Amino acid sequence: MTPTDIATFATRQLALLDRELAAELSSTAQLASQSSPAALQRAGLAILNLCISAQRMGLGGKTVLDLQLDSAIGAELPEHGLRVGDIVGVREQVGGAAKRKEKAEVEKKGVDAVVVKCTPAGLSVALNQEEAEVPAGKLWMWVMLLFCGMIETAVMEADFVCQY
Amino acid sequence: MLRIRGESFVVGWRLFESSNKLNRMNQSMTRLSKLTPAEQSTFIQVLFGHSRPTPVHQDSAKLEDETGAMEWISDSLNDSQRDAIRFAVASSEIALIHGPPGTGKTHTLIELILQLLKKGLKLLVCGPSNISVDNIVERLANHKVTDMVRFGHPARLLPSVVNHSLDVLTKTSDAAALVQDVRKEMDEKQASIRKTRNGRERKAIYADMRELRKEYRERERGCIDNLVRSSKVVLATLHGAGGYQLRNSSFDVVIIDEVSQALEAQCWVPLLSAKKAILAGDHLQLPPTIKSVNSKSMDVDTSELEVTLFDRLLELHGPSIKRMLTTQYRMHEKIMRFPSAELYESKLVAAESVRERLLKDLPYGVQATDDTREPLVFIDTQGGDFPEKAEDEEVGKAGGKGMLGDSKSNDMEAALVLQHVRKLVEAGVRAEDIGIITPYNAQVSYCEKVFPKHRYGMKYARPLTRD
Repeated sequence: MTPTDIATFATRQLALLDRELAAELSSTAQLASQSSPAALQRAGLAILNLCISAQRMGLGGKTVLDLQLDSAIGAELPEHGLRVGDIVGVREQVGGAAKRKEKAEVEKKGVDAVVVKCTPAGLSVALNQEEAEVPAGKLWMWVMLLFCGMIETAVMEADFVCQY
Repeated sequence: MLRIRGESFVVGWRLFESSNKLNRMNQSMTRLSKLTPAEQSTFIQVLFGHSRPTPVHQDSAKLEDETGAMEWISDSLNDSQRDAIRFAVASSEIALIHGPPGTGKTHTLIELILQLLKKGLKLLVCGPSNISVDNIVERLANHKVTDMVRFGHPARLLPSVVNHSLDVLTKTSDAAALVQDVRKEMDEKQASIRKTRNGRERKAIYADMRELRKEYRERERGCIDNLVRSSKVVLATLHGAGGYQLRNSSFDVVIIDEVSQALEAQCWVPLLSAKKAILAGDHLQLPPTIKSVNSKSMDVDTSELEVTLFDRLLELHGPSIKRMLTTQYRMHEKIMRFPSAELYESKLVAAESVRERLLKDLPYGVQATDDTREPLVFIDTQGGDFPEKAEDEEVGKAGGKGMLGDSKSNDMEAALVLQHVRKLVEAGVRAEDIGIITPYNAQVSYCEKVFPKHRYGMKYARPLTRD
């Protein structure tokens, strides 16, 4: 039994965790910037054609949005990989023909959120921003950070409950 | 507001500030690094090998003599499970429970929790994922454990789980009425935003809401403090255990499930204030995914992060701090043989009920055919007749071999699966009893298209590929 020096161990862990965070952030950013929403949906990382069915106040004074599939598209969400704890971006959906300026406008109005509930019929998300104006119209959401990587969003998820 | 950690990165066109994702872990590690020797509890010293764990009888019969007969709550425990529970109860600092797949690890933990509760101890039970925590909440609820709080967001929406969540308890408990009033008022205000005509009206409403939110939080905090103080078991994800409400609470025992799927730093979030820990997991299954390991740009080897707390403690103190559950209740003997021999030193034993279980013996009458008589069938698809399709042309062009480029489908293989499913159904196996598992999302969508009638039984697995 060789004792481990506690301070050395902890400092080393901190350094390693830092690298891991950097790697994760760059991989997700790359993914989102290279693929179309439709491609993200096929990979299970996004859901298109959503609309807001309800808006209410959740724990910690967070705004919670209930999202469901546009009834013109169907009742059940397509197969997807979004899970409770994932951080998602929620944006108004614009056509491919939209101008760059319009896209930037939509981006500005969008919100970031954490998935808090997941059923076959819809998703609930808790908003990241406190006083965000909720985007209107047809929406889509995609995963910014997956929960399945260990380091990732677990803390965020907890923060939605705990951090005031 | 969330604290900002400094890093920022661009998603699409927007600057998204990476928040304090790692903060809980970092905080715990920082606290650990700054502990003076006087502040290091015996528990922490044992976990880093500065002192040895208080010895517990290795012989299970002697241990039983020493601890006295236990009154078992569940009558379906096998010997290895009872032994593990006795050991975990008797140990003073640390106990590892090694549970290979299907050996009833959660079942054992539940009994262990109930036994510790009988002793009047206050417990913190954690797992790396919401699902792992919810499973425990659900089973404890079945045992009529009422003094428990589930922190965080339940992933399973069963009433037994949700009713113990903080979210619901702050609405239903006695102190909750005050909180409810404010919540209702805020919901009304929120709804009225939609009716506003101009920015000034909206601004006024937002200002009101800011005040209400402050009020709301204060009342909620009081309510939550009460709940935590009065409950015997607190359940949370590892990160959830770092929330401020738990910061000043102390627990007699911290139990971590699925510990081998968590980073060691994650485990320290609940462990910093522990006096004794019981860790359950299987260090021979996949460790947590570390993304930076294969990344070339990294100047430091991060594979060290894959060493879990379970691994490290075994290395440090040897097998005397571990008990293994050896009877598995999931696999036919033939399916079990390979993992048992390769990973578990052939120690696994198939339980009577599953040892020779075959499809043809299903209680609703299945014909005995070649397909239902065998527990395990391999179908050889080598030879180039089964080309894989990279799912998305567009991604291919972008040249990125990212997560998307990896998603593949194979229509010939799907056809084979369909054929096999048909044979099983013809033999009398119910469609809802058949599960199809594939690591690729593209294959899941493809299968959904070709098997519309057999949809029910399909399980979806998020692509969790490892190169």
